[in-house]
Parts: sequence; C-alpha cells; structure tokens
Amino acid sequence: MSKLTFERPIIQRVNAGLPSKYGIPRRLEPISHIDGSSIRSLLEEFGSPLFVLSEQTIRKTYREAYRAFSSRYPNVQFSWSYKTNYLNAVCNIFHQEGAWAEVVSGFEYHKALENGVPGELIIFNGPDKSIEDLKLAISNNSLIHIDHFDELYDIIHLSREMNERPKVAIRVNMDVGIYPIWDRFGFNYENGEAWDAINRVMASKTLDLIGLHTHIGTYILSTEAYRIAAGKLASLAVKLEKKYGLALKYIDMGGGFASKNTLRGAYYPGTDTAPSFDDFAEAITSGLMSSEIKPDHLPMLVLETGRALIDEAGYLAGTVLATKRLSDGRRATIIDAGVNLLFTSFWYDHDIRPVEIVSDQTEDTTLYGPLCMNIDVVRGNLMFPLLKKGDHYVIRRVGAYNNTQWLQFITFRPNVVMLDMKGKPHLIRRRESLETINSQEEIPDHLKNFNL
Amino acid sequence: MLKIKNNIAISDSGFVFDARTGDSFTLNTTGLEIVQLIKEGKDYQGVLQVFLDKYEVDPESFERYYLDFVATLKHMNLIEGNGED
Amino acid sequence: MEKIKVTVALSGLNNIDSPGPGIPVIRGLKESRVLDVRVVGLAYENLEPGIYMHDLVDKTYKVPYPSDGVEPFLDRIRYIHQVENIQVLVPNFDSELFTVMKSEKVLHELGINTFLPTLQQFEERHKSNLPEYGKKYGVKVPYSDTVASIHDFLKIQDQFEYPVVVKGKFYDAYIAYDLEQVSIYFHKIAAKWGLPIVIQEFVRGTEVNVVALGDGRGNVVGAVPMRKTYITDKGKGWGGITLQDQDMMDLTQKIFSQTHWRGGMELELIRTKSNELYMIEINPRLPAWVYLAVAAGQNLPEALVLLALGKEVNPFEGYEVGKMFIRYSYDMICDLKEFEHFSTRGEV
Repeated sequence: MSKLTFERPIIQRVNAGLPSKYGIPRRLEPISHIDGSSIRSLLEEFGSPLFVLSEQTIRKTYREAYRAFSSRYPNVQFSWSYKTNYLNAVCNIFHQEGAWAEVVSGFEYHKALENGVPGELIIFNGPDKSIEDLKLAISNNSLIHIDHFDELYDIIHLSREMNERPKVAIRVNMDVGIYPIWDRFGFNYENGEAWDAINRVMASKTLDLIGLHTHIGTYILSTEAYRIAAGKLASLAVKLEKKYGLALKYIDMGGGFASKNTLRGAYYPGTDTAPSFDDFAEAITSGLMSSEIKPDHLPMLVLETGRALIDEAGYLAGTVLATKRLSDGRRATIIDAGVNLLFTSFWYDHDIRPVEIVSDQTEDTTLYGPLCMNIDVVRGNLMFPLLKKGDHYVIRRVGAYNNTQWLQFITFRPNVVMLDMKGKPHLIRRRESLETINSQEEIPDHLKNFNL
Repeated sequence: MLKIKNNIAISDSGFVFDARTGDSFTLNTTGLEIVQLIKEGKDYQGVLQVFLDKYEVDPESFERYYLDFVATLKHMNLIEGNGED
Repeated sequence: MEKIKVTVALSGLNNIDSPGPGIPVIRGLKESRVLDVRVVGLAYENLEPGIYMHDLVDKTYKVPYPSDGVEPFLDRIRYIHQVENIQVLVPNFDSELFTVMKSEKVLHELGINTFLPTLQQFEERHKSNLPEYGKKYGVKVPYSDTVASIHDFLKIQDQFEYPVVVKGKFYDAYIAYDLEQVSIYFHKIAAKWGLPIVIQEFVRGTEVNVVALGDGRGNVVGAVPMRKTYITDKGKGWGGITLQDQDMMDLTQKIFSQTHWRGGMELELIRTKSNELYMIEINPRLPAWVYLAVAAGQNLPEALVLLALGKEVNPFEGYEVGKMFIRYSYDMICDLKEFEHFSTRGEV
C-alpha cells in the first residue's frame, strides 16, 4: 500500500472577533508547468531560483495588442520599450513581430543597434542623451524625442555643425485627470510650452518635426486619460498643420498601460481592474479619430507599451529555504529569491503559487527573501499553503522591469531561460559567477597582499 | 509527558474549543491526528511510529514539524507538561 | 393566487451595531405576498448574526472576499448554485458590486439573475467623481477632491475650510477639524479600504435620505424619503421617520430619469438652513433601513427580485408618512456546534 503525502501539522485560531481579511480561505491552484515544461525539472536543470520567460505568451500578447489597435486605426506601429526588459532574446521576439526599438539611454541605443535594429527605426527618448549619443542618433536618422529646451538647442546646434536634418518629435506632458501628472518629462501642454517648443523647432528650419509624443504615467487604469491625451496631441497636430501646413508623420502615445498585477494598497486584484488592450485602443483611437485631423492625414499611431506586453510572460521560480514561526505565532516562509531580484515586489502584491500539489489548508504567512535585511519581504500577510523546506514556488507576472532593475547583492543573479514556441528551454542569460563580478574590479598594488 | 489540557474539547472535524478562554481553533488532518495520539497517551516515539507507517515522511523532517507544532500548541496554551524536553 | 417560488442568494448578514442591509432585505422578501422565497445567505465572517437566524435565512455559505477577485467568487457561486439553484443574486455591499457586475455575464449564463446598475452608472457616482456628477446632472454637491497622500492634501488644503469630511472609497467617513485629524483618518481609512481618499467640504444641515429603486429605463419604481431621528456614534441611524417632501422626490426623479439607474439606491442628502438640498453620496444598493420603506407600503426588496426575474412591476403609489423605526439590539443564543460547523466547513 502506498503511503499518504505528509502535510505539515498546523493549528489555527478561528477568527471570532473582528472581521479578518480573508473570508473563506481561497485555494491557490498550484502551477506545475509553464508552456508544458515542468517547473521542477527546469529548476533541476538550470538551478534555483530561475527566471522563466515564455515566448508563446510574448507573441500572443503582442499580437493581441496589435490586433486591438490595428483593427481600429489604419496605421499602427509598436516600438519595444527596452527599459522594461532588454534581454536581447526578448527584444528580438518583439522585433521579429515588427516592433521598432524605444530606448532612453546611450547604452540601450547601442543595444538596439547591436540587435540589428536599423537606426531610423529607433526612437530615442528620455532626458539623458549625451552630445555623443545625439550625434550618433542624428547620423543614423533615428527619431529623437526632445525632452527639454536645453536638448532642443543642442540639437539645433548639432544640425548646423553636422549639416544634417535631425528627425525630431516633441514630448508633451499634460493634465489628463490622473494623479500624479508626469510634468517632469517633456514640454507642458496647458501652459503653452509645448506649442512654444514646436514653434522653436519650425523656426530653426534645420530640424524635421515628424512626431508628437506623450507618456502620461505608469500603471494607468483609466482609459479615459488616454482619450484625453490623444485628443490634446491631436489638437496640437491640427494647430501645426493650420499654421505651417505640416502633416505629422506620427503621434506617439507612449505606454503606461497597467498589467494584471495587483498594486499594493489596491482593494480589487489587477486581474479584475486592468483594462484590456481593446479598452485602451478604443479610448486612444477614438480620441484621434474624433479630432479635427483630416481623415486622409491621419498620422501613424506609435505605441511604446512595455509592462502590459511582457509582464505576463515572466515567471520567477524557486525553492523554499525554511519555514519558521514569528514571535506572535505567525508563519514565516523564507524563499531563495529576494527583493533584489524582484524589485517589483515593492509595489505589487505578486501572485505567488506553489509548484507541487498541496492540500487546501492555508495559513497566514509572510514570504521573506534570503537577504540578510529586514526590507526583504516578497509578500506580507497572505494566506498561503503549507510549504515545507525544499518545496517549490513560482511567482507570476514578473516579466516587466525585474530583469532590468535587479541588483547583484551577496550572491549572483540567476539564470534566465526562455521557453520557445514548443516549450523547450533556452538559456538566454547566464548566471553570474565570481569571475563576472571580479572581472570588473581592480586592486591597487599595495592592497594585493596581506598576512593574517 | 505531554498532556492536552483538561478544558479542551476536540471534535472529529478538527475543531478545538478551549472552555477556559472561550477560544476556538481548527486543526488540519495531520494536526488532528497528532493531537488525538497525544490524547491517547502516546509519547513522541509512539506518534512517530504511526506517522512513519502511514505517511511519506522521514523521521528527521517529522521531528522538525512535530516540535514546531507542539511549540505552537504550547504557545496557544492548549497543552501542558514538558514532554521530551 | 399561488406565490412564485424563488431562491434568492444575498449578502450583508452582519446585522450588528453598524448593520448591513441583508436582514432588512430578507424581512421584506419573507413578507412578500407574491413571492415564496428560499433565502441563501452569503457570509464572510463566522459571526455574522444572519448565519444563525434560521427563521429568516434558510442556509448560509461562506464566500471569498471581493478583493480576492472575480474567479474565486465565481468558483464559490458555481458550487453554491449546484446545490441551491440560485435564481436571483442580491449583493448588499458596495465592495461586492464591482465583482458581481464583472461576473454578470457568467452569472446569467448559469441562470442566476441580477438587477444591478451598469458599470458606467456605478463608476460615475463614485465619491471621487461627485463634482462632475453634480455638474452633469444638475445636482448640488459639496466641493470635494481626491488625494492619494497627505502630501497631496497639503497642496489643495487652501481650497477647504475646516471642518472637512474624510471619506473612504467604499465606506467610512469622518469629520476632521484640523490637519492632524485629516492625517489620522486618512491613514485609518486607507489601511482598510485603500486609496484614494476623498476630502469633502462639510455642509452644515440636517441629513436626510431617500431609498429608491430604478427600473433601468429612467423610471422610479419606488422611493421613500426619511430622516434619521437619532444617529449613533458610528453615524448609523438609531431611529428614523418617513417624510413628505416634494423636493426630495423631485431630486430623486431627476437623477433617475437622467441616469436610467438600474437597481436599488440610497441618496444621502443634506438639507441646509436655507432649505437647499446637497447630495453628499449615492450608495448603489438598498440601505440597511430599507425595511422602513417596506413597512411604509413599498416592498422594494420584493420589487427588486421581481425585476431581476424579468417581471413587469408597477411603480408604487405613495407610502405612509410619519412611519418610524427604532433599531434595537438583541442577544441571540447560538449553538457552538453551528459555529464550529460554519467555521470549519463554510456552510450551515
């Protein structure tokens, strides 16, 4: 006779006082496989913890987003936001799907070039472009989105010096009824600064103004805000055409679409509240179509959404290191991935699941990472199944920002694998080693030796 | 020897009622089994044997979770005695 | 006439000092002359009194919180539906409405009827949208603004005069007399109901309320105005009395005919000294004092269930003016076995 699976014995106080957060304990369905590939075997092969990215999900999500916009608007172009995830394998999937590159630094710009993106299909955003960066971007005919007047004057100056016509767009910030207003990037719409910048570009006669750009914020749940933003950019475009007879090549609505992750402090889960691509597309395209832009002059619609395209495709799998009781009797579970790998745990209540089948029993648990630091809390107070040392977990929706913002701290950043369309794993970023870290260091001669 | 306190009622569903404090608790299946075995007067070796026969568990892991569980019972004031300590 | 047999599932069984509307709604249903109702209670906590009130609630099931999301909610409803064959679902908490509205299509496919406002109607009456709502429908509302931090409030502080009302997204409202109190209530509410927090101008006057039911086509099926004659320290009515007030009825009519509100609603109004009516809040469901309307001649819970079932309902004509309610508490004796059963198995 085969023996039964052993579950940790537990006892819990029945809540008979103030309302608890939990209602009926919710069963967390285990996730044992990603795209048909067993998480447990992936961990055995590639080590724990492990980032896993799904090519299937990336392509599916991209096509869904593209369909939502292109079925409503004649000319749509996505541009992959490198800062969201610039692992080359990830970028190249988006490029294969037809997305341009959107970069915000010289480093990202070179990354895109090395990936083989033609210079004229790279959008160069952000407040930090060095003169060298600008020169390169100008000679490559890249699309430079101007963030402030200092940069505008630099570009005018360079255009004369290099005798080139840089292709530029003006980044506009505006009040779209949401908080906070991202007024630190670009030129303000309401106070007329954006219009001034446009006039300045036109007056220079050496720049080609080809687009207008806005990026209203991040993790935006309100589609209405995008409708307003599209309307405001459209009105600038109309004004521009009236005054200068110039029809813009594109309007870039940026990104900021919420993913299905749940923000800390939100009452409802992100899976319920995040608008769909169709919702965002409806708001943006109707904002443009109902403007006074002439129907035969409708500019290309550029989108730079990052988070909503990649978050869902990323998983972080790993192993339980220990479980212990805190002084007040609550359970603490320590896992092998901390906040240094999962930066987003500072603002999300991540969806964390067991990998192996567990019973329906759950207990009030805090999930700690392995760092020797008090801030290393991956999830506070959640009802979690009774995992034991050596059991596995998987954290969902970690594709955005973690592989670009992770920190190397006390140990190495782990392997990243991508599951191809058939679910077969490919290593796309090697785990760091002592050598990786040490190779960047220099030791002055007088510090090379010591006697203990 | 561990002993479940006198005023503790335990039902087959794993519901525990402490008549002295009015608190109630729930046990999962393995928790309930251990409590019942302790109630029957089994010492650690006795409980261990039952679990090794019935469950997929090694003695080392079991000891760890058993001691943790018993400590929780103590924390909740449900048992007395110093057992194997 | 034979009564229509119907199984209704509803929540809000927390008939405590700050009561949910569940038990009053059930009383209305149980007294119906056309409906023979089996009541399936949905509860979140082991100690919601309704669970143990077997003369009113036939069976109660524990359900997951709306904050867990649509899927866990639907999973549980599917299970309950299998056993009970629910025909009508009446959510009685504000915080449930979003989840139930999101699930409406699936519920209808299962054969579970609801009678709820549309998502758009629901969203636009949010406390944080009240100023726009007032402008759009020509209703007087107090000045208010939404803040996500105390820092936000400092920036707009000049627009307000103390005292101000600090309000949560779903529930809770406190009157704050200085910045320190704003800060205390801000954190207290944010911890429980999340962000944002609404800061509202405090309008001096008498609070009056209307309970009403709209058919979704712009008609008021029934409406009863009331004044709370005594308010507890939790801001709940201890006693109340029905009023005869044409202004309140006109305002209700105006809102319903423009918004085409579907389902139950409670209008919270302030009548100022100069006899102006300010709307301070719209609650998107029947309130806990709805039984006063039943007693005054308008069985709104019954009408709501009939509408959910797709029946034609004639608008109520009139109600008894000067009908009073006095709330009282009562120590019900319960069996530990039942408590055990509910807390371990989630149903009783």
